[in-house]
Amino acid sequence: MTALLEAVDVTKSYGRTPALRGVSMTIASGEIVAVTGQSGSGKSTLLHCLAGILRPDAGEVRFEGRVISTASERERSRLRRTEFGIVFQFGQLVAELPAVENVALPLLLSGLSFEKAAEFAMEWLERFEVADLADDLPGEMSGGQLQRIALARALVMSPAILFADEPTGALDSLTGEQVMRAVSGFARESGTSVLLVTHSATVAAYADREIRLRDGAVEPVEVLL
Amino acid sequence: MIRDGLITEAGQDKAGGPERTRYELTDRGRADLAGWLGQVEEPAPFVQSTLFTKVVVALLAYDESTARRYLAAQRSAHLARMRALTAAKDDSDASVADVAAADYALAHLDADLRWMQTTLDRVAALSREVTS
Repeated sequence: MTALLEAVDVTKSYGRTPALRGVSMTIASGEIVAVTGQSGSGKSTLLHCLAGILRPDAGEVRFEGRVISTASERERSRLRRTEFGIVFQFGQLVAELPAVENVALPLLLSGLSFEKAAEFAMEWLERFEVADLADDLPGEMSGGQLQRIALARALVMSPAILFADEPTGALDSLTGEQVMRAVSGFARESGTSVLLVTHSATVAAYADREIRLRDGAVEPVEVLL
Repeated sequence: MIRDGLITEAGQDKAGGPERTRYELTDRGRADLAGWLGQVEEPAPFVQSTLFTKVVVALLAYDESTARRYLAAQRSAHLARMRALTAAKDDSDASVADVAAADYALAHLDADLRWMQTTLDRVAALSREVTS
């Protein structure tokens, strides 16, 4: 499989504290990869560098073979709007907008009419079985419902890759399972790649493979005696 | 169980396959089962599993890095098993009982995995203790 997204020797520090120490990894098209590790191992920093939110101090991030880590903020912003979908632990929906408008937001920013964007948004709400919440505000919803709507918003532009940072971290186990089944089911059906950051092995078990970070570096796969 | 008077023969079944003997609980068997179901299993106070034994043996016979390699390899094997169980849960033919059985296995594997991770972080201290 060819790499859709690639990190080459990526290094990142916060002040004098190193967060990533020369991380190299790839994600193929359609692949679900879990990045795991203890708190402070650098997994969220890696996701932010790969998604173009942070610029690495050194090394490169490549998307479809093109270096994006040195691209302008404008270009990285375009990528995040069109090619990358991002979901965080807490949905981070716009509190003042009803569900359907939250999901429609990326489409509106891309110039689609309100009517057309709302129509697409409703399709995505139906896909994640939350269409009945279309007119509700985020403050009126449960954690599981919020995450489904955040997922619909992340996927409404049909991104090539979904970045999910602890997407079930705030949910009970059964609701978390429903969210993970929705993510992995959609990814496998559509061929969308997923980079999943989690400290939970139960969540990592939805991925095709695991990349484990320790102190900002990829842990090698161990070979026994 | 027949010898102990817990079950008794209750006829033969032959539903499209080989003949099968059907058994039923006796009053004594029903009381015995109720007694078993009425007792919780004793929570194990120490991790006395093969995993723990292997870590200690690795430290005694080899060194810290061997124990770490074993734990990391075991961790990968556990996660691979968890992936297979998670995929089995998503199978459209899986019954609720299949899913619940997989949940049980997943929860135990997850507990083992968390123990392995904590033990990886304690290997140096454990080594000092067992080799002193």
